[in-house]
Amino acid sequence: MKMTDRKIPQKMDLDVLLAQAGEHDTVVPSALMQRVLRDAQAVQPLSQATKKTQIRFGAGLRDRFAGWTVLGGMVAASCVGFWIGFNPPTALDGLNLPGYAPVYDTFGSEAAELSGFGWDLEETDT
Amino acid sequence: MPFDPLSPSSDETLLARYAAGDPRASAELAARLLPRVLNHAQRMLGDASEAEDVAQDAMMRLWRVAPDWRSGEAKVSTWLYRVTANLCLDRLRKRRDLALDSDTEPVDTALAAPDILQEQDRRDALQAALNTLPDRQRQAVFLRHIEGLSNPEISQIMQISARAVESLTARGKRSLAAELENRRDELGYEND
Repeated sequence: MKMTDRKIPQKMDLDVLLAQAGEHDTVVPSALMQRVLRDAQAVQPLSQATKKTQIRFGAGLRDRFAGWTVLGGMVAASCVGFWIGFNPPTALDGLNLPGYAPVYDTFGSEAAELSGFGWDLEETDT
Repeated sequence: MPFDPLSPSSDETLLARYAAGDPRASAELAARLLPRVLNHAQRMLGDASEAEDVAQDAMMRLWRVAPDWRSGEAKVSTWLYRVTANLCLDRLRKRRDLALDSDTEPVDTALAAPDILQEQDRRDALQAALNTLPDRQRQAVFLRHIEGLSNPEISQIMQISARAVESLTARGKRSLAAELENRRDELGYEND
């Protein structure tokens, strides 16, 4: 709009000017609104329903395993068992435990078959 | 901001819903209160970017206080205006300290305001004139005459007596009128 298009009042009225400023709606930039809503979400207390669900889940676990101590012990034992299986201690090497056979023996005896599947023999025959 | 008839909940109810974990309450509250907070900060600081920071900070304080909000003690909007005003005053104080530390002339907010000679409209001229007022006068004039709050509400926000509010707004308005008189041409008014 050009300056000349404006309706210019002849006398300045401060009250009118202030009232006009009050009528003007402030436009909130969308980026600011998003920041504010993100803040709100970040610090919002949990709803009662969410709290109840979390409490129920924790209590269910605890009841199933007869208390936090037993549950903690089971987790620790599982971790130790996994580690022994993954990296057995040298003290176990000389033991002839029933059902225990070193894995590398099995692979050593059948290494050729495992690697070639006999296809190399077929090639030499033809 | 005009009252939205589609959302009849009071600010306090919405804040309680937010504190109870209602995910929609924050959006409703922000839509209702953020424009007023931003407008207040813009009028006080005369700087859009700083005003946005203050508005975000003030709203963050509202979210944090929500679980401990004591119902019936203060209006949410009044509390928020007060927080916004204090944040703005802090920033204005820092500005002045910086200006003094750097041994330069104090910032003339009238000069820092956008160029109002040709293309700016009256709102900018009014803002520039407001910027020349002392902080407390500017705040009182803004709350009384632009936001349309009552003197008791303003006295709660500014934590001064209602009589002091009257005095501040009267002096502020006189100074504003004198300042605008000098800017008559910029405002597009003809001389008598």
